[in-house]
Amino acid sequence: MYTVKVYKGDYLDRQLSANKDKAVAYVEHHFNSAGPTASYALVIVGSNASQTSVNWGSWYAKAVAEQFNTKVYRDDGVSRGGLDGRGDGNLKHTAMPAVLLEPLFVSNPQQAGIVRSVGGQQALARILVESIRRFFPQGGLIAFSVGHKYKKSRPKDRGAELAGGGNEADFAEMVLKQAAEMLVGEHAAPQPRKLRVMKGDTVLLETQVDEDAVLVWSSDRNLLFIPD
Amino acid sequence: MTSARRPTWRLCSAGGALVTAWWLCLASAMPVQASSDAATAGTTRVQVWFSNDRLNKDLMDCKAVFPVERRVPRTLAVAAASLRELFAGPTPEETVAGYRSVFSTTSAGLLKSVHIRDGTAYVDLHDPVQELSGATASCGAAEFQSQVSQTLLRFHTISRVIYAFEGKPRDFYGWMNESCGPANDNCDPQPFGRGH
Repeated sequence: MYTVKVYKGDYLDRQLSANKDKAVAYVEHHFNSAGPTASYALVIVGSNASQTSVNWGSWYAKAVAEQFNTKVYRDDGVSRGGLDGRGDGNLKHTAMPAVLLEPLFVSNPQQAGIVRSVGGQQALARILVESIRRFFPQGGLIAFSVGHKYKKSRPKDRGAELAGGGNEADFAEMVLKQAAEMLVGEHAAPQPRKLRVMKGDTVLLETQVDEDAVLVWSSDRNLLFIPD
Repeated sequence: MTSARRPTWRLCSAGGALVTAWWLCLASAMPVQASSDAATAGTTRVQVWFSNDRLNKDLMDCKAVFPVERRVPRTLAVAAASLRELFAGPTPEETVAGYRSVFSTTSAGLLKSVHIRDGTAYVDLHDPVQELSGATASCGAAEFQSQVSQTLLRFHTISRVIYAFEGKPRDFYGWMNESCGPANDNCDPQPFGRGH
């Protein structure tokens, strides 16, 4: 069973509050920005991050890259301690596994379109929820933090502008809201393993498979084989 | 890349009166490439550095920047002149050539002051809030600082750069999601105080 709390205020205060509440995981959601062709999924973990944080971040980055046909940052999608230390202070004071998400570039018009779309937001929320269920199956309080927004020190900060309009922070908040609804609203008990076939954002097929089943994809036959 | 000739540099003496030391260093940092043709007489050549996805071999390297050359009216305050050129962003011609930046004509007035002391350039900026929104993303922040640093580190009197908004380093580094620490002198505002 999961509960979700959105932490506000300056980043240090958010982390200390989450520690005090004994959250089991901490997620700060941003979007990246550079040029119009930039395209890779990045997750920052603190300089003092646990291996759980690294594995969680890498799993998330790879899932985003697969979903949106992009790359992951460097080898595993994870920057330890942030790029030149930026982002480290957003996480390093947490007492639980913590990640700072930069899944897509809002300066890239195509990726900004994904961020702006309901389907894109749902897909990002779904990946985040799946990552939380995978790495924290015991449930507990999940701490959410909207990057840039709700800071006392710079209350008007909203992060980067999206190509085509809008801002990073508002869309990050939309994704987190949907993820919170999924986490809290869907099946409280651990879920059986499921295989899904998706076209874009639409699930075409969903079926249960054994936990230990090894799925084999045959590209020659266009067949995904599920052992009995 | 438009710079073809390597400029030479005057040496900056570490001695001299403290009151004027930074100004002398600033002046001596300027390239002494003489302009021989009449069209460029009375000007100083400076380089500013921008991102360029066409020239960048590793698009995940957000710190990769490339120089363009500008000519400004002859001045002793070359570092300030260079930053003003940088903060005005790429020209339309440079943009066509692939150069890009978080800086643009809307950020042309970003520089409040720059002074140099003991190898550190103290860059005081007007608080931009809206104009540089992409500069605080992970990659955008790296581009911002790399463009400024490379533009200034060409001057042999400068070995590092510390920033402030309106004289307050803590505001700048907070905006950048960076901690105050030894690398930025723990956000000490004193060097940005009056007298500079």
